[in-house]
Amino acid sequence: MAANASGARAEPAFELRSGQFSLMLLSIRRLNANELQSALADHVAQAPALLQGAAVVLDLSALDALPNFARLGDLIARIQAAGLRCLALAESPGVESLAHSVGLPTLGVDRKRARRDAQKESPVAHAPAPEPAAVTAREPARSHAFRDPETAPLPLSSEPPRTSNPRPGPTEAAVSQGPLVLPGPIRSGQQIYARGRDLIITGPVSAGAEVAADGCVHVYGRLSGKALAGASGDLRARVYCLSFAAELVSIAGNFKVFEAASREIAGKAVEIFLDDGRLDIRPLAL
Amino acid sequence: MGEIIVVTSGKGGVGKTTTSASLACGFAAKGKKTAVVDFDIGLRNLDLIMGCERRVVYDFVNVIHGDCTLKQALIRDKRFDNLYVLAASQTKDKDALTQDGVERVIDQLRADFDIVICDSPAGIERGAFYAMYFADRAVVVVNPEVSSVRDSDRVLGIMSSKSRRAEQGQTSVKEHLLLTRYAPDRVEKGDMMSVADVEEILGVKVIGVIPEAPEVLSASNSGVPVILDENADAGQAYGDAVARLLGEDRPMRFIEPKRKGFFQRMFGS
Repeated sequence: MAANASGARAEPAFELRSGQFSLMLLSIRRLNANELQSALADHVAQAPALLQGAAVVLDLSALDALPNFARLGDLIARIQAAGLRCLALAESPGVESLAHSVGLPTLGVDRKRARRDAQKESPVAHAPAPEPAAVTAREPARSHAFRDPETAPLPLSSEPPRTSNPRPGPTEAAVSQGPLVLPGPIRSGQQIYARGRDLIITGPVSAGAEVAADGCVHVYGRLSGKALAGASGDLRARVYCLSFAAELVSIAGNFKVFEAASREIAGKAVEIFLDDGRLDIRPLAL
Repeated sequence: MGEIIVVTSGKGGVGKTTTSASLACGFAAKGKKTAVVDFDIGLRNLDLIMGCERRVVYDFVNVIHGDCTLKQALIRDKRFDNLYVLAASQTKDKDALTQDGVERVIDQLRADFDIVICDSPAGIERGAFYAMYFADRAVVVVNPEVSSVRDSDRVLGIMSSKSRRAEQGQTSVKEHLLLTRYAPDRVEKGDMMSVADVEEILGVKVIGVIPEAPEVLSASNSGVPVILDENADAGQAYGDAVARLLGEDRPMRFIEPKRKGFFQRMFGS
């Protein structure tokens, strides 16, 4: 303070602006203080660099009944003891006055999104855990990743970009949304990913382009680029094209690179599928 | 309202600037009020090919920064009084191009001219991006060889997805291929890709085929766009391309190997 005052610049002593932070949400499922503290402490011990002293927002919405003032105070103390710092309570009905009583603010949470994130992560992230712990820590409401206009892939489609490592788990059961249909040509450098469905390209796919789908990939034209079907692990997915000249074909991670396609398939209409873990390519009799 | 035509390719050295200069002269000769803009900030060349390098006072970046008016920066061609050149800055780099700035200049040119030709730099970075962003039509210059064809494919993809027309959901940028440095005898021998090969790979129609010819280089060096050399095949081929861009139907010339005449066969050439 003193230093600031002696500085006496024209600039105001503070600046108030909005900031966005990513916080972990600590969802309490059961109000058993002892169980909670030991489970939390174990959790923190597994990833101390990430979790020790981390600020969390306490979410009580999963509980059947809200704790009273005293139990909440105890809960917060236990969380503290386990190595986390409780910063605020997540907004939910009845929490406002409770938060006030323990001197914490409430924060709004985009619950739909948080739930979606949790579901998405659950099969992979939580499967290895031996017992469902009394708590889960997760990251709510992440902001959209910045997309550089020069490098952002998938401009043609409304789908999010394909990640370099397709998720290993089975396809999210979402057949109802129908295929993603795009006109060709899909040009060199473009990436298309149809999440959870089939991909149909009504035109050619150029060399250096990548078309991928969790379901089947159909190319009504010359396939000169890369085609990846069953990107999330569906072994039944297949690739079809009217004229085969692909650089690479992959089905559920089983891929083959074609430096030069053999005469039986080059330029032919083909069907590509997995036969006992091996890529099989057969000309279609059209 | 004028039409914005980008001349682009992805790959360098395929003849974008040569093509921009010749198309600009061709349109002007057909009575269209034409401007040709050099987007290759830092590597300014168009003024040389157009033969107006000694008359560059203000450039594109000066206009964007508001150092001068657009009118002050436009250089009138000595051969056609309906043809103007907007030179690139040689001292700045491509970061000097801003979307707002480019848009302002392009909008103003569109209001004042029938045809605005944007001469794109090579690559797919900032300069090339802004050259094609506002385009209504694209002339993609391709050499009949694999790397040029692949780069053109990439550029066509970027254009179809990231141009303003694509972003605003308007009808897409109209695409044309212009094949340059075409050597029919080498195509016949199978050393070079044919017009049909390139059309098939890229799925875009060829609007002109410019034969490989020594006149092209000498025209560039003397600052007289090759289209003005009416005796040169390359000049006539550019003339055909301009006519086709204006909607005329002309047969493709210079795509068959020349049969040598009797005397040439006897005495060599």
